[in-house]
Amino acid sequence: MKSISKYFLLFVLLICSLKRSGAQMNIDSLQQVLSQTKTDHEHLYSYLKVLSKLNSDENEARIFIGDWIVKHAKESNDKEMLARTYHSLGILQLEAKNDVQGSELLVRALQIAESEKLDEASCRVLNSLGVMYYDFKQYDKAIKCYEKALNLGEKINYTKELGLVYYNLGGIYFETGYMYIDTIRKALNLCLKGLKVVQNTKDTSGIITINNGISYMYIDLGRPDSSLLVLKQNEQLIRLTNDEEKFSSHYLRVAQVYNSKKQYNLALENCRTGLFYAKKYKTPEWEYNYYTTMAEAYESMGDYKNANKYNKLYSDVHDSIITKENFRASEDIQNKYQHEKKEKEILKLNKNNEIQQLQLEKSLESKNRLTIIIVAVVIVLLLLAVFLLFLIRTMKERKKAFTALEEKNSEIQKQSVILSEQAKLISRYQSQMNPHLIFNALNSIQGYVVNDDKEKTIAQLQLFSLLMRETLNNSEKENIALEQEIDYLKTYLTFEQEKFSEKIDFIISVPENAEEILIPPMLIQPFIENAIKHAGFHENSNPQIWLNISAESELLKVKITDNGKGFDMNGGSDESKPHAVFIFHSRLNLIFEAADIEFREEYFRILSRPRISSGTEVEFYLPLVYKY
Amino acid sequence: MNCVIVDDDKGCIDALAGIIKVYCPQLTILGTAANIADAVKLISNTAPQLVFLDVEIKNESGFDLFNYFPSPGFEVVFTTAHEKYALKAIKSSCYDFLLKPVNIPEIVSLVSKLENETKQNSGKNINVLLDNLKAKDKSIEKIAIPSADGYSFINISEIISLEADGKYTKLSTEANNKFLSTKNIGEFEELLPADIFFRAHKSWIINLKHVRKFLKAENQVLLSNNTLAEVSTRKKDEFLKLFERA
Repeated sequence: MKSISKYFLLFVLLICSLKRSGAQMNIDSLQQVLSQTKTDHEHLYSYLKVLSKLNSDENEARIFIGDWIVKHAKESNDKEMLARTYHSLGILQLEAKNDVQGSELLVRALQIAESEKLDEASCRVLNSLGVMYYDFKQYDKAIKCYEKALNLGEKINYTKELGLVYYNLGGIYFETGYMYIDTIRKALNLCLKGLKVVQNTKDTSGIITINNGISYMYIDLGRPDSSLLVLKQNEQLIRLTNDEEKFSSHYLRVAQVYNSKKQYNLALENCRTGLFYAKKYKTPEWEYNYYTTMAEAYESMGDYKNANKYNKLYSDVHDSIITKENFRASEDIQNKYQHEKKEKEILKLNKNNEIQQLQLEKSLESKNRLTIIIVAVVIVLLLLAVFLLFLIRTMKERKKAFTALEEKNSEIQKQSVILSEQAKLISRYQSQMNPHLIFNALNSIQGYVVNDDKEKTIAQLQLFSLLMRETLNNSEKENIALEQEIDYLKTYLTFEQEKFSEKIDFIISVPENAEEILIPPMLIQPFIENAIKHAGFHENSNPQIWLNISAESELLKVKITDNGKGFDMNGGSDESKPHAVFIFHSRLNLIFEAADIEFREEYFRILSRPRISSGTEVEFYLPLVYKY
Repeated sequence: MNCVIVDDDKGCIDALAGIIKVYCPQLTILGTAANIADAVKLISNTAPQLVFLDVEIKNESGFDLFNYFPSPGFEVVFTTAHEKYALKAIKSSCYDFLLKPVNIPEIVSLVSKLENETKQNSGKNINVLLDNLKAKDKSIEKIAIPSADGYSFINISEIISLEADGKYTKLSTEANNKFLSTKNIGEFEELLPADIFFRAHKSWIINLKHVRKFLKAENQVLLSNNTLAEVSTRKKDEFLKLFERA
């Protein structure tokens, strides 16, 4: 317990110090922390997370942590961890423009992931490799990597990464083939596919990135309005996720679309909004892009004075960036010097503290320990509370963002939903008990109550609740055991039997292995109900219903026969065919379709007097499905 | 024997009380309660031997009662109209239940069964039931198997396989114990989570985590305790597919 809380405290302090110092991280203290940290999978993993959360200005610390994880992952032969860490380090090196080291690390990560069959990791590394080749402008290699990642991702249904892979692949087609409409369409389709995936995984920043890419493609396809629509969605998403920094680039796209639509005033307006954010978040690389876009707009409007002014602003900012980059090297050296100076001061202070503490400790040892524990607990609790609040807030915001997005999508989805609902309805309809039956049952129960027949009332009530329960349970299931369906039918017949003075003979023959055969529930019941209703049993001295079920190669044959007066459901034109029969027909069709067997007309027929000598005969076939 | 009835629906109380008076006259009803607070008072004051407890009580759950009686000194019969998830937990823990509307032969045989069971001997464990109710994904954690001297409570993760033995079922567990249950294998199939347990054959349910080897020619799987379980030819493809993904 003690070691865990100690570790946790160190971990929290580490993160705090990282957050606060921002620019630099004390490697010595990091080393100290890591040397006291356990090296099991969970701890390595949490540090890998820390590694990916740090900014690029903390590269020294990131590499140090990375090397530390690599060392221990090798010791414990944790191949997955190794592949992940190489992957993270590779990306880091590529970001720092160490191309050779970066690509080597990524290749190493891929080798491990592939030889260990870590499909998810392979998919991720391949995607990163694709981005790298893309940056190197080796487009054919990049495409190969993306395609491999795509195949792998689709195979294992790795939704977390798939969206971006689609997007990357689409992006590269777009980049390399922007003159060819077909290629752009292909790119757009891939991006839309990617969009669907990230929408499903609710990955907001993924949606924003992909929408952004899609907006480019729409412009090249000559659909600026679609482009604007997508960008408007993005604007909402950015606002709802409170990620204002994204606005610094967002409005540039919007302005460019308006420029292409020759709506220069709107373009300028958006540029000004974008400029505000670019300045607020100190992103000069966007700032000068706004200037040049504004210059373009003014030029097209014929306002050459303003065009000139913004062109000048553009070159000013552009130049200053280049100069700044030159300065950065010398700044680095200065930073290092100041950092070391500070370190030394801290060391001195620490020593002083130690001496003071030694003196204090003797007298206050026990008291101190208690306060330290209390303070630590309070800090941990506070941090947890803050973390929770933060979590709840982001979750709320995300929810908001998605309701907005979902509203838009729902219209498109509505249609497909309606279609599938119709199909479902057809199949559902049959699996529900006929409402007439429910009310007739209640009616007859009422009759027993009025006549004070307690025994019969209770018996009917119990049969009825049993039927209702079975019906409800079965309606949720696609298939039930044939044996179960037969039991249900028997209960149903016992229930109906009460209404007749003559006993109905229910003669059933089913295959021996009825418990192993599966059938869709509630298919047979309507025909039994029909047999009772229309067969005119009241005049019949010996009413009989036969149910014959038999297996015939890959089909199950169901035959329901009665000896009543006959009821011709096939008669007349199609319109007058009873509704229930029509629905049964479509349900049967759906069942065969699902089983991938061709449905033939002779798989369902109803014969009645005078075509047959007595009563009604219903015959239909089902795909033969076994349970085991 | 005496009892109390806890149900938020007055109609249900009247129906059950009426049936008890006519068909189970040996059972004395000490009182009824329509919510948990009243039920706690009633039980504390009357100390009944048996409580008929509705699972779904308005704004509460019947199971809340056990917050006040963590080791109840009374038998419990749960009553429910249509609640599948709670029913699964109740069945797994071997507690008795009645479906509403109550079936008369059922309540008559249940009451006479409870009369014969002495209280100390019943050995049911309310914590097993509560754990099962709390289990993730509407699943269960433990299963109670009646035995000669009470009940054995088995963590379902420790079950390696279940084999049908006529109407009974044989269970093998990690600790190399064997249990014989009077439930048939189909009932177990309904209770056990389908993502861990696979009905491989008419007479076999296997824990997928304990599969070691598939013997192609014999259509059998070797389990971690060296048992060979059958896989039916029709289930073979489905079975192998489960492992392709992993």
